[in-house]
Amino acid sequence: MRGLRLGLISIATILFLFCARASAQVCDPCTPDGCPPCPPSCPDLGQPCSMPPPCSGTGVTYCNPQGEELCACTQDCYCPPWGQLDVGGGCAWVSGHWDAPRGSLVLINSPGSTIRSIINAIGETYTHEMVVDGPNSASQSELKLPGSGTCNYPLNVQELTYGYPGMERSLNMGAIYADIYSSVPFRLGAGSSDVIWQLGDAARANAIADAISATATSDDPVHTDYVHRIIRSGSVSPYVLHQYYDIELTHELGPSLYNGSMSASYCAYAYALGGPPMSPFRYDHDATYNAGWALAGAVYDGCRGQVGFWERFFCGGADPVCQAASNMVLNCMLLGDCNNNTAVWQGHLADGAARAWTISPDRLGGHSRFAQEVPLPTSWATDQAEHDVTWSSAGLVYGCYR
Amino acid sequence: MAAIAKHKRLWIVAFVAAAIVVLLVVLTLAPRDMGPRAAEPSQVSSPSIDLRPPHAIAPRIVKPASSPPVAAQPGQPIPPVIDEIIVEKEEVCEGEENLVTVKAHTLDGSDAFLHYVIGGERGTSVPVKTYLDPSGKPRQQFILAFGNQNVSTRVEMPSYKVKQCTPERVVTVGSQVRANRIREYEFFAKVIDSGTGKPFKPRQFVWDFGDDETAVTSTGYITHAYQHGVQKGLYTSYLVRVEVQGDSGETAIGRTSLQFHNLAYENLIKFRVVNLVGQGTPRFPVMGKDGVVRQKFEIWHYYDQPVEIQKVTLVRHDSDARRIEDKELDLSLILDETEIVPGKSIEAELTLDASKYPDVIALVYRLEGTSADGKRAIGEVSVMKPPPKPSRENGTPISDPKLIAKIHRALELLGQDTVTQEDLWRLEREGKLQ
Repeated sequence: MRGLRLGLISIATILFLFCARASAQVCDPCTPDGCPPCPPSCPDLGQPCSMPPPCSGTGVTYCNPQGEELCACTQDCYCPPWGQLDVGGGCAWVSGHWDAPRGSLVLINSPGSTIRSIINAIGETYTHEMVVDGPNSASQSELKLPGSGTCNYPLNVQELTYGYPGMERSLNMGAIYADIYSSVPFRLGAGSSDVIWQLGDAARANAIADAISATATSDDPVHTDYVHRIIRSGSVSPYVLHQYYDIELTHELGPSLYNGSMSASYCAYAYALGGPPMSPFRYDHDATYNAGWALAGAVYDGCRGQVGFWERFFCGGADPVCQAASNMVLNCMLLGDCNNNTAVWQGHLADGAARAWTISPDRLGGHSRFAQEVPLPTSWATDQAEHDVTWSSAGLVYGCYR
Repeated sequence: MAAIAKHKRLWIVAFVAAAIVVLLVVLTLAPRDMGPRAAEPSQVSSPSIDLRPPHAIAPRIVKPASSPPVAAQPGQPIPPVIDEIIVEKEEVCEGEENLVTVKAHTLDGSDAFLHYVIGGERGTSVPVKTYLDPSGKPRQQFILAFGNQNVSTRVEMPSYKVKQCTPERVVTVGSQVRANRIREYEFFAKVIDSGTGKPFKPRQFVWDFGDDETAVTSTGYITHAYQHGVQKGLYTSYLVRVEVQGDSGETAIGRTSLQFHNLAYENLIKFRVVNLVGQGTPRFPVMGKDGVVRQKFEIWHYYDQPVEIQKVTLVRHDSDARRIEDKELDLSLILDETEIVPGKSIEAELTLDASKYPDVIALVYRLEGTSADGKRAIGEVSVMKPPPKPSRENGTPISDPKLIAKIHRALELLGQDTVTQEDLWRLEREGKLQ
């Protein structure tokens, strides 16, 4: 299968390059063949010139399609690489802030999340959550979507089993802002999007933030920054789908399959770091059944929209690929077995004993079915005001200097 | 001769293999039954909005037959009763929208908690898309009606024919809330043409936001703010519809469902407290030359009784994100008017003087009051200190040449000395950073 995949990639790449070359248009910008209209002519073309700093060298002037007169270098030409262009200046970013207090819970209701299908099926609202660990940082558990696999196992088994990065802290404001608002206009699904915070008992919230700050991390370099993966019970805590079905003892700082977490179970874990733990909720069989089938449908439909020509061609169509992807995710969630592409989950889910035991975003914040619970599930849930998150800037602020 | 025969056999094998590949490609690329169209073309000569469904046939009304629901255990809420389901079209292509609308009621007086999930999406009226499963049957979909504490009634989606065909064109509608705005959304509409019909060039986009507000744009992008009306239940749903009119008169329609979770209503039920909320203008804080941030805040509530604001307390939000109560403010210096009537808002210009509060990230104005029927009203608004202009000393240097190029281009296009993440996203979406 690996060979087949490599083969597919090579063939596709060759064809793509061939097509790209074939369709490339050799286009004089000043002729009426579909190219932009002629710009104003440059007065002194072909004159000797020197390259402007930071480049050096000499050449002759030419006119670019926008009508700008530039120097085309022909002799002793040198330009420093892009990254070194800030010899006399440069560009930098500074982080904005949010008004969410330390140790508060941030709840996000976001369209387009695959997890939203589960949340919808149980009639709840919020799809993701974070714990504030500073004026411009947060902690959470999140999943980078697994890469592709083979025809029979279309999702990368390793990445599905041990979701990356899982529990992380000190996430910077740029990453948080992108997580919440990143401009992906045509996501699957629809709905509103709210971002709120809840503090409740400030002393408890501070204790949670203190405990998060004290956790050890394993720092992975990503671009120019780091992902600070929280060490839990001696190792990192990957994002594990099974937590949606059975939180095990994550909420009590105890063990779980693959030492795993998901977004809500991380917040329950953080809550327990700062004081007595919260309790999970036992969903009834109907809710569990609806959620399971909703997730299966969402994965299948999402996959159908993404399977390309070559996968269809070599894997016998989109249907078997997407059915296998859907089975893998459901077996992973219900049985903790991400390396299984059969429909065995269906029998498990049909059994009346199949009832999820877990914590949802709504439970953390005391919303929807948990709003009338006595006592409320967490100290965050006791916050009586509506706090829509306020930002000091629209994400990171960029500027350049000399 | 043997060598020639061997070569001949190789050529035959190669030819047969090539023929099989060609045949497979032809079979895979063969045009599918085009079946029904996403929307019957209808001439629209003016920007007025036609709210009729895109198919001329009347929608089908289905009344689910079921016995009266009962509570799972004594004392627990009773699941809702689904009265009728309205299905817009009798047949669709795979992936084509079919609008499904649900009407239900509760038997225990908890209609305020009613909300629905139709084919996996939230809303009272949802454009459902259906795909065929590997056996060629439409994938089974459900309708869920939730009542108090999310007790639910589930019924199967009424059947309609799903054909293995591709709609001539579909319009995808996306939405996203705007930062520092309450219930203000960006909407995006995109026409996806299957390429099987006449080329479709959008001329204008006619929007209906589902709240009696409409608009016409020349591109598939718009922002819209929903009004701050009285919240009468835990959820409010809207169906957003956009009709894209093409250059040669054809139209295409896309829809999306928006459902709000009314947090203020939930806090009213949960704590018997009226929530006050506010948003500032400008949307993000700007430091004046005198070192003072000034923002005009619109403050309102969602309750059906007037609320009188009686106290404003200043709270410092420090650089560790801790909150420290500072002092009570003279109400008359902050607010010109203190009564907020239902559905209306009051304005207040609030400030943050950086020289007086050098170590804060924000000044929080905490509001307290009472409603006409004696309920406690609480809320707060934050005036934040804007980040400084990035410099060599305070900024994190950027080495990614692509990002540097984008920043330079954005600074030039916007004529500003700084740009934000949001500016870059917007310019990229508009194709100006290519």
